[in-house]
Amino acid sequence: MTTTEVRPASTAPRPVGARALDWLTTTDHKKIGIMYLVNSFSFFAIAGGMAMLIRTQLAKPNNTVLSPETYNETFTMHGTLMIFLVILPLLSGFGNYFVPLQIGALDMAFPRVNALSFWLLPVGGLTILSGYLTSGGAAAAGWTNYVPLALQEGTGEDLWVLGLLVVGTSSLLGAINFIVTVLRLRAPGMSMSRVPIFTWATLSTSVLVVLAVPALTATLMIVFADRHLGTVFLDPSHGGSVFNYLNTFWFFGHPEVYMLIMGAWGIVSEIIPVFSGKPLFGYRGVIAALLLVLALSFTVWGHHMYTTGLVDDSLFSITTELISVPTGVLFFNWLFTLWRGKIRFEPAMVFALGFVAMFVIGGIDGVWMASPAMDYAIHDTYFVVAHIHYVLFGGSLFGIMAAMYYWFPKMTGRYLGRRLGHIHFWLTFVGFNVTFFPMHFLGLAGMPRRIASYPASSGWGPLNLVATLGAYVIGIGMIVGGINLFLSLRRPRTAPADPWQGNTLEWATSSPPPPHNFDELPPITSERPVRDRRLAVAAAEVTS
Amino acid sequence: MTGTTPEALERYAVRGASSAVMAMTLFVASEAVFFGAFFGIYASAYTQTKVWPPGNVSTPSRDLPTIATVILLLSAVTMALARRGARRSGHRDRTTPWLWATVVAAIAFVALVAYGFGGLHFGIGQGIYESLFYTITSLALAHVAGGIVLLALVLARARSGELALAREPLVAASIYWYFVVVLGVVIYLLLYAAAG
Repeated sequence: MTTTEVRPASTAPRPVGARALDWLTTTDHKKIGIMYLVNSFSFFAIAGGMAMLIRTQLAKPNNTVLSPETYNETFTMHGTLMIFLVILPLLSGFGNYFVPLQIGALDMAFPRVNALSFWLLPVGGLTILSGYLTSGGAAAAGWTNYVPLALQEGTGEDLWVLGLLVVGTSSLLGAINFIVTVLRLRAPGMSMSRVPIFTWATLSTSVLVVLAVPALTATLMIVFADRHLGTVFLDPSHGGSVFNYLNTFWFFGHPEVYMLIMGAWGIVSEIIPVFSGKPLFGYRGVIAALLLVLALSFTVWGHHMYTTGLVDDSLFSITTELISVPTGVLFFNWLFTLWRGKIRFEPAMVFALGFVAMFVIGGIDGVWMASPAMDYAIHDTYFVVAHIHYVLFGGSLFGIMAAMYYWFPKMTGRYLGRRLGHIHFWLTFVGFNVTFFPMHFLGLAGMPRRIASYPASSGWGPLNLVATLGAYVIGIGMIVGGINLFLSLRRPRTAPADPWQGNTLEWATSSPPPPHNFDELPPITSERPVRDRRLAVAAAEVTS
Repeated sequence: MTGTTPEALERYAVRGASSAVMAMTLFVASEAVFFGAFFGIYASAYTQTKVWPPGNVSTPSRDLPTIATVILLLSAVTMALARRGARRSGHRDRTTPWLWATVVAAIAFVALVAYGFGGLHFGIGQGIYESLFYTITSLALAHVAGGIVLLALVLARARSGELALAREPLVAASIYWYFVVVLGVVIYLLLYAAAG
């Protein structure tokens, strides 16, 4: 009798075509999560390149690198891509990969809908970008797409509207999936009071998406109907009003800001405790803060309209200032978690600390702008540009970078390089502040946002040059980050299941996890089951 | 130390059987916000004018829409009876006839409203009321049509006997249908009754 040696299935080389088909047709939340990240980082490279063009154009007075039309298209696409196709989908990508792991589930509640949510994203993104192929060029009315600009633009504007409708559908389906997954698929023992903060943050974000994105859909439909179907929603000469646009857009637009930051709050609330060697200070307080922000975020949209004279400024000022209370609670929770902790300055932690510092600045800017008296002076100036970048770059993107360094070993079994990680951080951190801090002064000096050039007599030249140099430093930092990623993917898989002494269930399975996620789950008796098991094992070793 | 195996998780996940109902509830919530945006524009326009509708609009007749809305309300009753029928496990199928009745009522509603459009004497671009009228009614009709497709899918399952095993598709479809009925009533009050 002869025996045939059978190669184990896992080591058998598979043709590239079969592996590609696996990815294209997968419903595994982990693969979909990785596809979200790859897709969004690709759009990040495009939108980041546009930022470099914008800063190059503004480096000196009367510059002519970009024509005014091209400049308008560039900042419109930069904002649209960063908001709708980079930050939110990056957070969704991490959510896809880690929410089921953190709650001990096998997959998302609706795996096929999950795949659909992902595939709609590149379709929507490319639809928006396809405006460049039309004779009138891409949409150029800014990411807020204000009327009457939105009604005057060419075909690129229609593609922008259609693309965003597709992206909005993707977000909505994804959000419903997240909510059902978290509420119904938690492992035995994983009560809501033990659910990790990142999962809580994803849940809160998803509720925001379900209740706010439909307002964007309605806004886009109004624009499309006025452009092509003959309606007069936005036409004052027939009883319509620009106010109809502003109201519905910002009813979506302000909760949108929290959709972009809550996930990052969740990430930082995971990382700071792990690298401080301490439990998160006030776990329940953090959840309460998230829920309070969630509720308040629907009451503040009018603060984008102070200067229109159409809203009750004092009312919206009060609700906006109120949001700083739960946000302040979060800061103090992070600071108290750090207090007397054994801090390990791994790249993930450094990015998380950078997040805390930068988000404080962005938050304080926000409190200033919530005051109508202040806002009348700085409305539509570079002060607003500084604020939004401190929140979405210093905030959201620093959180996303922290998540990359924190979870990369779990996703790939490989560490991201530590040294290059620190270089990546410092270049980004310094470049970021050199770019965006001066914009506060430019705003106070009256420089309006969205202008393609400015005269030398304005005196804005020197600070703009500083900002542009800072932007190049950020660009170099991001290239270093990309090189780090590339080099790390070529290293051997050396990461153990729990490389950072983590707290939450994703660290209870191998790196990367098997297709079914867990061979075995530890008992879940607190919000830190992996730490509990580690301590139990250590105690058992001491007593034996 | 006791742990949880994938097999135990698989069994435990059966608790998620009514995920479809929860997902539909969330979807309906998002739909409510979507229509809420248009009603917000309505409210804003309504409060800014002394006469509603503004301008000399020859307002739509209320006859057909009233009949259509009553039929739509009746379809909510037949839907409720279909759900009730599915809860009772008898020898006779108590669900399918009521589902058919709901579908017929829905088709009658769409037909009556669409027929009523023929008697309208204003265009979409004449004013804000006209724009709201055509946009909201068209979107609502599209939602009723979507509901008919959904009901047809549930009917197919009822015929194959699947509903006897799991009522979730029926319950999920009914949540959507109740939303459509409420929407129809609100639209009747705002666009037909208030404009008369």
